Amino acid sequence: MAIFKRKNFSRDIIAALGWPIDPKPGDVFEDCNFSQLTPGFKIPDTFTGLTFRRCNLVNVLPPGDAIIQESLVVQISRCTNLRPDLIDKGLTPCEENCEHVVDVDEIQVDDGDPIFIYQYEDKRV
Amino acid sequence: MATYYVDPAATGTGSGADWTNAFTTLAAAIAKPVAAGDTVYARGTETLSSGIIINVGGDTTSGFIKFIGCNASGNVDGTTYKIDGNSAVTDGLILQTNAKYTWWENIEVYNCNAHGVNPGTLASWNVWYNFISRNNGNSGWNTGGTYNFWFYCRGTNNAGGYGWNNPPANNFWIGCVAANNADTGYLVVGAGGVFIESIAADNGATSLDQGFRADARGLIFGCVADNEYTGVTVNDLLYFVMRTRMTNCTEGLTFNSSGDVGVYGFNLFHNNTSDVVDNGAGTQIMRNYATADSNKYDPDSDDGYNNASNEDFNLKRNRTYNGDGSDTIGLGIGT
Repeated sequence: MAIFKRKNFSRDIIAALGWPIDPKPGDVFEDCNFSQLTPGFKIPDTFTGLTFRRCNLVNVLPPGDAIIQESLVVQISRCTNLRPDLIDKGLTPCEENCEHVVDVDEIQVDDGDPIFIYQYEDKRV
Repeated sequence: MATYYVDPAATGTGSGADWTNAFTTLAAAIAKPVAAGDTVYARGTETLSSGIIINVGGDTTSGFIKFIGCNASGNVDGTTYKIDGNSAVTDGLILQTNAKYTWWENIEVYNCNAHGVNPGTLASWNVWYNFISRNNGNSGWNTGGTYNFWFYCRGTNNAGGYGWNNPPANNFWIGCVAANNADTGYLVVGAGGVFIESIAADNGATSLDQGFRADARGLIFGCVADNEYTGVTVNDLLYFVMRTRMTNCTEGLTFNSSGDVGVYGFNLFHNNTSDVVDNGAGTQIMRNYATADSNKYDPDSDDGYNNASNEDFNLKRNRTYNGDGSDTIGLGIGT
């Protein structure tokens, strides 16, 4: 059994470049970051018997038999209106009136078209 | 100048007057309300159902409002008070406009869906000491005001993903670690950021990611940037990078705009693809440029942040934590 501590496996590190390690049943990841930009990144079910302890699993789907301890497990749809820098990292640009809008202020200036000011939040999915 | 106690496992009256009758949440202590000069001791683990809002502060007459984590016996020994976002709350700590002169010592916040700590842009003159913000969905710390001080803090494993995201001008980091975040370790856009003996390691791997992003008129002294795409990026006028180790990076030190006047010297560059990259033809004043591995105290000779307890980075401190202001610190700096 191996214990992998304080490793960064986020984003391209495993999503594009592939796994730098070959985890075996019984292996433990401690304080590792597996987080991804978009929801639904699946860690292969062929990686069986793994334990994730104090790991960041944002937008990650761990194998079904994994043991998850004290980890952040959530799927988040990110809004590029809040984080335009993430477009360069591969996130699809959001429309101005996108699914992440939580509030809209409409401002009417004289006889012109109304101006809409949108408030956004990343969305838990 | 009152003293209050927080223990989520307490079953007493909840008056906050002692450990037996402690408040069971930090929010309850804050709502007392605490005032300038007060101290709140906290022990155990608090699982949040909503973020903790702080809109109170100390002042220059009566001093800080202090929140200090304790061990199970109620003693201050560096044991953290744990704030668990439980994959449920957005931000763990939310500092609003009046949150000035607050002091956060021996506290850990994690598993929040957005930021571990989200200080408003007017939250200034706050001190963070041995504070850990890790495993959050966005950043460890997000923005904040000016003149905040981080001592021996850690922003690690954040997904959004900065250790520190965009605090404005004139903030200070001493002995901190930003590691394993999905993007940049320290993203500092404001002028006057000062880093002393702090570490950035193993953060995001793309060309947009950096260990330290430093803007105008600041200082990086005695720090380490290891295994980053860019170890240190200088983006604006007159930044000093001195006695810093940039190792195992694609680019060790990068100047990004034509207005840069970078002063760097007495640094070590080792095993980078490119040691110094000048993208803007700025003026650079360089002295004592070294590339030999001189980390003589690192027993595993890998220049990597692999074992925080050994001498990696020459930054191990012989620190005696007393928690009463009488800490002794041996800096343990190597060559």
